[in-house]
Amino acid sequence: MACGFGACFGCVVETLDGYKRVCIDGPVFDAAVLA
Amino acid sequence: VIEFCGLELDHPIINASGCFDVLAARQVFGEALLERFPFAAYVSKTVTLAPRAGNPSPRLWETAGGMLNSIGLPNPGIDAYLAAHVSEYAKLGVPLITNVMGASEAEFAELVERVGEREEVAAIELNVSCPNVATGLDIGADPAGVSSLLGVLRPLTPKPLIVKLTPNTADVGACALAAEAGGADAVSLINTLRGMALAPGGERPWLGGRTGGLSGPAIRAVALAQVASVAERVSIAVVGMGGVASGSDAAELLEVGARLVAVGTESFRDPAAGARITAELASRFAENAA
Repeated sequence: MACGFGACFGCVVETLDGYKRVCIDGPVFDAAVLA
Repeated sequence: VIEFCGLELDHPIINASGCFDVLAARQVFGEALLERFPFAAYVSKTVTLAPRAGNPSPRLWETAGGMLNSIGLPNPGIDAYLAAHVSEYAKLGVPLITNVMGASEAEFAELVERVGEREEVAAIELNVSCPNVATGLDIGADPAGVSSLLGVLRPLTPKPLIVKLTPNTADVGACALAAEAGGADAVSLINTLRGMALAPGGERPWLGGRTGGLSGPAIRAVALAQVASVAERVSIAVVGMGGVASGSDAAELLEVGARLVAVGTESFRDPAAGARITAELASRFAENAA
């Protein structure tokens, strides 16, 4: 992880709604939305 | 006060494109981080015509003294940028430099025309580290490409044009001269150096984009050499960047001829780096003046 605060977009995971940042949109995601 | 492309800046430290996200910083740290905005101008992330999702994961790899990134320039596209982001950035109280990238001269032209219409935008930075869809070659990788692009873009706007040079070229000084001859108001360098890492086990590239851009202290010596070389050859302003992590790093780039210095990767490690480096630089100047 480069920054940990949403700026670098390095930590994304793919969801049904596009890439999401693990650091500020996660770190916990509903498994049903993960692509 | 520093004069840059007709703008008056409070000090010589700005952010590198893509390395300081105002909206994310405000969401996480609150208004406090932005109340006294640390940079003398704000450079946006690269904006493209169409929205981009960015590259597949993984996007980062840590190297000795730096990192490789293959983020892939995710951005909402020019419509959303102009509709929603420009007005937010204008509130920062410093000049806004909008960074744009096209995959052809025609795409660049549309971006420059549309961004150029907005009074909130003080200057436009051209990210020419992009493959031309027609040729497969990076648009800014040779002087002829830079020259041809400026020939199209210069007549389209009176706003200052800053060419963000790619270091992945045989002769960066020749590309800078082509930018100057084409009417650019400034050049900025260095962008990241192309690099690659293999996944543990060594069987395939680690990054989803296969290769990535190397940044951080690992590239500071390259930046110093390229900025010095370009500053010797052009008379337009030079924005120096590459691995700057302290006031003394910034002072070195200024010493070899940069007008401004941009802070990139260090802002990921330390979101307050802009303010710290500006203060360190100011205290060096104060010591030298005493």
